Amino acid sequence: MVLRLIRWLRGYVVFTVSGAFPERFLNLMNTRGVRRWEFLPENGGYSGKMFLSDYLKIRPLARKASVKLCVRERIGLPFFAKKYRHRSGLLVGAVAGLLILGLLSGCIWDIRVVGAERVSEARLRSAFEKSGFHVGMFKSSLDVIETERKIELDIPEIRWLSINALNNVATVEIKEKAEKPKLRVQKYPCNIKAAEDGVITDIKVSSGVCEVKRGSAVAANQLLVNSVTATRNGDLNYVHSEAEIYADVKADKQIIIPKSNNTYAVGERYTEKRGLRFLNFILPFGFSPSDRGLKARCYTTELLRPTEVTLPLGVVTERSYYITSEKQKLDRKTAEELLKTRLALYECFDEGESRIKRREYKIGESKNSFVLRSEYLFNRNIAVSQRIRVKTSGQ
Amino acid sequence: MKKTSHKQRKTPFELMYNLPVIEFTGDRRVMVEGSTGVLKYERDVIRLNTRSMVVCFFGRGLSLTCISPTTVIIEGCVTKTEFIR
Repeated sequence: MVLRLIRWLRGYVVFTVSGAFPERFLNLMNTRGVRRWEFLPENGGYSGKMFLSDYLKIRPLARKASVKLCVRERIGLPFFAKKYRHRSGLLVGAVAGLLILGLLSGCIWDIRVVGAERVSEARLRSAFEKSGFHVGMFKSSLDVIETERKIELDIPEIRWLSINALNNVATVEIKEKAEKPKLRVQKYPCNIKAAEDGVITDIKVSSGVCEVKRGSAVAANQLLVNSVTATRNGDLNYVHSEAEIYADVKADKQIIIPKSNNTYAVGERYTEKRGLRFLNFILPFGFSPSDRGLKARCYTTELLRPTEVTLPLGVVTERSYYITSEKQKLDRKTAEELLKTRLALYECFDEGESRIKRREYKIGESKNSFVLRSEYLFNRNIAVSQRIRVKTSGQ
Repeated sequence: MKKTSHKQRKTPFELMYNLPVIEFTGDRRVMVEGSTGVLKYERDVIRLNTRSMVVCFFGRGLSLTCISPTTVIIEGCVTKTEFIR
């Protein structure tokens, strides 16, 4: 294979020898050290192959041996180059192609993320960009250790990270930190007090001395569970009180919505701009007239993926949706529905841990707004721990 | 260097009479050391000149695969060898 390549690069001719003394010609070539191969007898002569440079030297030998040389075929780079010598563009194209090939081989075409479960890929890619690790960068300019360190500092949830740049694809392997369980610190002594006024309905005390009874009314900040207990010897013992004290608690809620307000909505009308993305560069090729005004932009990138490898070539579409604003006047029916929805949201998210025992609401109307006033009777845990500082004599 | 090695391989007897060294590999390959030129080269006969005699190989599909100033390698099916003084 190598020999064939060398022969092709140097260029060789297939020739025939015929005449009076072909054997003498053969011997003359031997003595002059002319290289030839596949030298076989033919009808009245020989045929063989010889380097172009040698063939130019053997004419005097042929004359001496009274033989006639005839070239049958010319093979190799010198003949190829001669054939296309007037087409310099071809050479330029070939050189440019080789340069582009070499240039692209040294770039990162795609970044794959493996092992990310809790950390979102968008956050990771943003961290990659921040640390200078992006599609289109040269592999040689990638300082793996430094980049890994920067990303790890940027995203503390990552325990271990490794960047493997193989061929044109960089694979980022990630191991995330295990979440720490919440530790309940019970070392310090504390009392339990009431968070708000109410009537106690249920008492669950794990530690400490309960100071109230079921059915008793308590005020906010009233002591519910005492952390100080007396031992048989008469000494005082301080414990970390733990308890769940459920009480019926009254609460008011007021929701106000204005009668007229501006509403913003993403409309169906949009303009689209397209661009050709190559590595990290975007070349816009589509223009569309755009009006002034509020817009919501949405970017989509479609990259070519003929095989398993994503090519760094694709189309980026930027779609701008017009945001329309309307001055809306609410009628009473719509306002009631809206207020009820907001009330339901309040019950669900703000008072999710409370049980609603009673609810009464009224929808009123002022000059500029609709008002919902509601009264609740919640049953919820009103226990709040309050740390106490114990001073011993001498301190 | 090459000449020295040829001389080293030759025995005093061969050196004295300028005899060629002929090495057969079955009937498929022949290496002739001490050749001074090719006298006839055809498919069925190759005649080589040496210092002391002419060696003639008869056969079918004979070809000279390697020719150097002193050594010739013949490949093909050799049926007969003739020495002419």
